[in-house]
Amino acid sequence: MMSLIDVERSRECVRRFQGGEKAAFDELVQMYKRQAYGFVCSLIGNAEDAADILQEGFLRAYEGLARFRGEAGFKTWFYRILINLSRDTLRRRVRSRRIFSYSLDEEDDDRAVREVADATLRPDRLAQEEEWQNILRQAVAGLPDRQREAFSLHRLQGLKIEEVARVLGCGPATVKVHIFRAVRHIGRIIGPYMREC
Amino acid sequence: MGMCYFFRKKLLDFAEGRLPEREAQRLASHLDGCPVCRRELGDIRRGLEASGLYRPHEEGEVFWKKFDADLWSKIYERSAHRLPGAARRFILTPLWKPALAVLPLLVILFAVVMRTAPVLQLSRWMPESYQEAAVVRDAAWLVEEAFDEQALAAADEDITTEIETLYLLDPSAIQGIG
Ligand SMILES: [Zn+2]
Repeated sequence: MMSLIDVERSRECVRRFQGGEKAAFDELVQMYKRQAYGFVCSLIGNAEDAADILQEGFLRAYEGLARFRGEAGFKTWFYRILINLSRDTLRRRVRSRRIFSYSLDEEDDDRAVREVADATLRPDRLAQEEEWQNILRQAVAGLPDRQREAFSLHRLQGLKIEEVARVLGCGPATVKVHIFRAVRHIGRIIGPYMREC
Repeated sequence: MGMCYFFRKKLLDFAEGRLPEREAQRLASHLDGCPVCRRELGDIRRGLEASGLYRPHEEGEVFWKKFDADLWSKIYERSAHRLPGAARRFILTPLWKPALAVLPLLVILFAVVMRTAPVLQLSRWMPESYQEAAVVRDAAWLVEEAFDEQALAAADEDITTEIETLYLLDPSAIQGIG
């Protein structure tokens, strides 16, 4: 969630940047880079391309900030850029090598559970934290785009439902449905291992 | 079972404790008799718990230092590539547009003033010091002109004397020249 101080600070940086003070952009970078990096990682499932996506996102923000009108707030606008770039990367990945062999269709949750387990899990090592995080990340990565984006923004980035709706450009009711399905999907995939832990 | 659809939509709020008490009680009594919704609620609770355990990717200071350096070098690189566009935007900024529009008008105005200046005798409006300076400049110019003319006349006289001398010495040479 963004505090009012952050919102005001980012607005001030945008104003200064638009007034010709290019260094104000660096303040925005320092303010958002870590948070945004975590967000991108959760969208693409790993850290492999995250730095490139984040850099490209900041570059586009730098180039577009002069025309930015600021109705939505910098973070909303910037996260939208990151979502589009992440989608492009995932599409390219799927084309080049089909890394997620299990279906993204929510009706196939049971099959997803089996295949995630077959591909990555060794029950004897489940206690290990890294392994657990990998399962979780893979479960999030296996969500359909909209569900993953809504889930990540709300549950992992702490944005309010209304803020998520603004980022995704849809209504709050739709956001709630996406989050409901995402949480249920993750619960189904993670469930067997949580019981074992 | 027919009510499951309506209750399921509220399971997430119920699991997070955000459902008003009355609705929560109604849902709880439905859950007592509905194993399907109970299983669904179990999935949602596990999903919420798991998402609470999610640890975001983090990187160290070395990573971020390199990130910042790379980012700014990319920004400068791309800005350099886009210079013609930037220059174009600069010219077309709202501040320059009216200035560019006024420029031809200024040129026309200048031409008109230059043409009408002698008629209007603009020197009348000059400060006295400027008028005096102009008089001195004009006088200097006239003196220079007079000197030049005198020199020219003297040169003409010299040439005439030379021709006369040549004619006396050899009349045929002068006829040959014409
Ligand atoms: Zn039910």
